[in-house]
Amino acid sequence: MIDAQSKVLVVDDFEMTRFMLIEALGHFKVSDVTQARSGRRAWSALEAAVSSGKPFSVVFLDWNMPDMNGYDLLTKCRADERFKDLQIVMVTAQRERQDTLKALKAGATGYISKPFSVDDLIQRIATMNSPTKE
Amino acid sequence: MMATTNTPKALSLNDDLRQVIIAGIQELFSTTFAIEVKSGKHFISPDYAGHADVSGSIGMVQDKSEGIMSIGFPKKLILEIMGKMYHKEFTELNKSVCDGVGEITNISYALARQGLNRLGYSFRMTVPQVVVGSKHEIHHMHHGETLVIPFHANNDEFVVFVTLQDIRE
Repeated sequence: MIDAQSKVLVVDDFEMTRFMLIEALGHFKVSDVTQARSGRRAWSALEAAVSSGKPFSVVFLDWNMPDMNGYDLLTKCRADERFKDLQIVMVTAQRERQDTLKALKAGATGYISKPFSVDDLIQRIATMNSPTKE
Repeated sequence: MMATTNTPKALSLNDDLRQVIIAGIQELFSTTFAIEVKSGKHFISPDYAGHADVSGSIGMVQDKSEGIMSIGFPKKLILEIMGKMYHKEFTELNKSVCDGVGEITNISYALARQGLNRLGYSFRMTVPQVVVGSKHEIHHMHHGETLVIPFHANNDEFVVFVTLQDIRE
């Protein structure tokens, strides 16, 4: 569930996509958003949030990034008990079926394919908030 | 149907490549920027040098062939596109604008890659690079011909071009 109380981490090496996601999250009154532009920085942010006692509830995670890619971060999170409740939504231009299945099998909560508009993102998030419609 | 093979097909500057590039660019621009782009007359050149104010380039890599795909924009057009995206006016090719060109390059290649892989190729994702500089030249250092496709948008033009390395068994 993504709402005004959600604490969200947006991970993408491109500012444009982070901007679009943050704009879409604004539609759901989400204001606690942290940005990271690589898998390594995202991991640091995730660990720091847990240590502070205010863990992230949702991560929007790009797949294709330099240093640690999104898939590696996904599997790292799923192997770590501290992040068992973390929702991880892959946001990626890799939209082949085998990639989607690979991510879902590895524990992704959702999968959003690029390209998209902000309106598309709002619809996808709304669908995630109503899982029976998905 | 998804083609799977252990030995990917070698890619040439054929209609497959041209069509997936055009389809990908049109999908990206209409979906993300609400801009309809039209492809112009393509050509193949033995020694093409692109000219742009900002360009993105990305490696096209699979086991039997490799190449590079570049997208070059004039300043005025990319400032319009990014201004619409960020809801503000840009006057310079700053980090946000250049970053946008990187994402355009990334998604364009991803869509082309998806189309090609459906046809039996086996291209992998790579990471784009962006170069900025007024009317800079872009030379692909691969030894091969270049497919050049102009695109028209907002009464302006940008260009996509792909050079493939000669295949050596």
